[in-house]
Amino acid sequence: MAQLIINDPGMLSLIVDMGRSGYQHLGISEGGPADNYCYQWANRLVCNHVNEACIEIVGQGFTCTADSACVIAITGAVTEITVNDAKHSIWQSIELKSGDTVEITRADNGMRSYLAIQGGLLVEPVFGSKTTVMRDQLGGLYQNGVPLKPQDKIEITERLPLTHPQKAPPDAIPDHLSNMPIQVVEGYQQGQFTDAQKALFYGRSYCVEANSNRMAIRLSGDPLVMQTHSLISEGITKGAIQIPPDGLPIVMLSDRQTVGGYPKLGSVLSVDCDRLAQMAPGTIIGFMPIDIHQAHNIITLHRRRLETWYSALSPLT
Amino acid sequence: MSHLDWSIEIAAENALIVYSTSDSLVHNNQRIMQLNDHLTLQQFPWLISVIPAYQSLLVTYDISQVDHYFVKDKINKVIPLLENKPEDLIDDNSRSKIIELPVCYDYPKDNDLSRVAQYCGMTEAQVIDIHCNPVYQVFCLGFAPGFAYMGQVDERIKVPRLSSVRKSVPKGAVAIAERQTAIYPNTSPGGWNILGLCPLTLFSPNAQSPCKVQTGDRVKFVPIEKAEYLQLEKQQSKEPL
Repeated sequence: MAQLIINDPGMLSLIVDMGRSGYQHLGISEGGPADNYCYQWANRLVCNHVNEACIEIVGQGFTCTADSACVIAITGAVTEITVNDAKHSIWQSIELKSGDTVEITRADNGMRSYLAIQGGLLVEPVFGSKTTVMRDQLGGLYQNGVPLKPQDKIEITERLPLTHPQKAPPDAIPDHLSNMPIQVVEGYQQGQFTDAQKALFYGRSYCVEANSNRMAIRLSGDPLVMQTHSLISEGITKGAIQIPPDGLPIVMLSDRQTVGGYPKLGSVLSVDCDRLAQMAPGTIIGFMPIDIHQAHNIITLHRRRLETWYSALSPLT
Repeated sequence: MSHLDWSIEIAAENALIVYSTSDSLVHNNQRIMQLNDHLTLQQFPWLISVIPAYQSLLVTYDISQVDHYFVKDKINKVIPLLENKPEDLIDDNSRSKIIELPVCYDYPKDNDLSRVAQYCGMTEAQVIDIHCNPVYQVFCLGFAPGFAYMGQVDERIKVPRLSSVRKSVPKGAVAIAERQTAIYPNTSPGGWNILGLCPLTLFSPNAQSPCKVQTGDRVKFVPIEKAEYLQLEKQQSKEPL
């Protein structure tokens, strides 16, 4: 059986797929890639279906060796990789020979990179997903939510090389250091916030805190003064902006708990959740309200653009 | 039929949240579960997930198939069907069964029973009696896989959460906070007041039915002695999943 051997997982490497959707009523987190956009591109560049498991890698230092010929692609925060110590291009398909070693030597366009392998990772799913949720102790290589460790061996599918190399167009590669405002679809308890409170929220800038992670982005800045402090717990969407009693917003991401009882202003647009997940601690951000029609418009255009780019590549295998 | 005690709000670009807003929490929770069942049973291709909780239902949908107008309209059509149902129909479904869960109170050693008793101005035995007397409704699963929020706990033993979170609450810990009670399905950090331990496994990922209790179920705690606890715990670890 072909294998990918993890030599060094770097800061944190997790097996992820589209997530454990459909079990949130049991208290099971959805999980999935923190940055869905870069995850999808990694799969697309090796002609995988969108739900094939990839490795999500924080920072640089990750190295792995393929013990058989295979095709990989690396996207996301990555800015430099080597194959057997020679520099190699990113955001494109890479044919590896048996024994080739890949290292992420620089990753300064954000926080997280995605490594996809043609045919995906042969890992047992739990609740329909291979995605790792550490807090839930579910998913990953051993199904118990443990991140990848040195010397872990992941079974992969041995595949014929792609007929053509696949490459993402330059416009498709996001600039994760951009400080465009984060777009918010207002909702939930937004009616309970006064106009003055909202004006403060949208007028201020916030700083991404070091204790942000796949569960949530925590922010510091001038706190919002609230009248209501907690409510009866209710379901939390990806991107939900919670205002806890200290008045500092928390944006919920992939590994969020399923329910919570803090007042919510609305939810960050999915494509901006991807950007948030790539922001390093210390990044300064601001928020901007959009209505649901604008949101649908942005998402539709986003999908059409992806379809156009994808249609220029080889069909899925 | 009135829609007055329902409200539907946008939650995200692809999600609506439905609130049942009558005065009774138990009634709201039952109606939310009916709406939950109605929507999930029909297996709509656009329905991605539902999260029922206390008195709300979060409905996430596929925006490449439908928009919020469509989903809101669907929900508004289902609501009158629920309201026309006689109350006692609720007792017809499997949710009306009472699940008995054994609890060894005042165990393990690191528990909050004596502090709770002191806070409430009663004896430990009184706290136990008041805690295990009602049939609780499971309002919601959340916090962790299989963690069931149950209520309402009697006003007389209503205590706040711990001022600082315990780093490790043992698997099976039966705890209270405000007017809620729960069992920790796995070892985790936690801020609720521990009264005892339940020997049964509440979450087993590989089992056909992974959660022993689900939202809408009713639960009764049955006090057991330590000897029985140890025996049940031993049995439990031997049982195949």
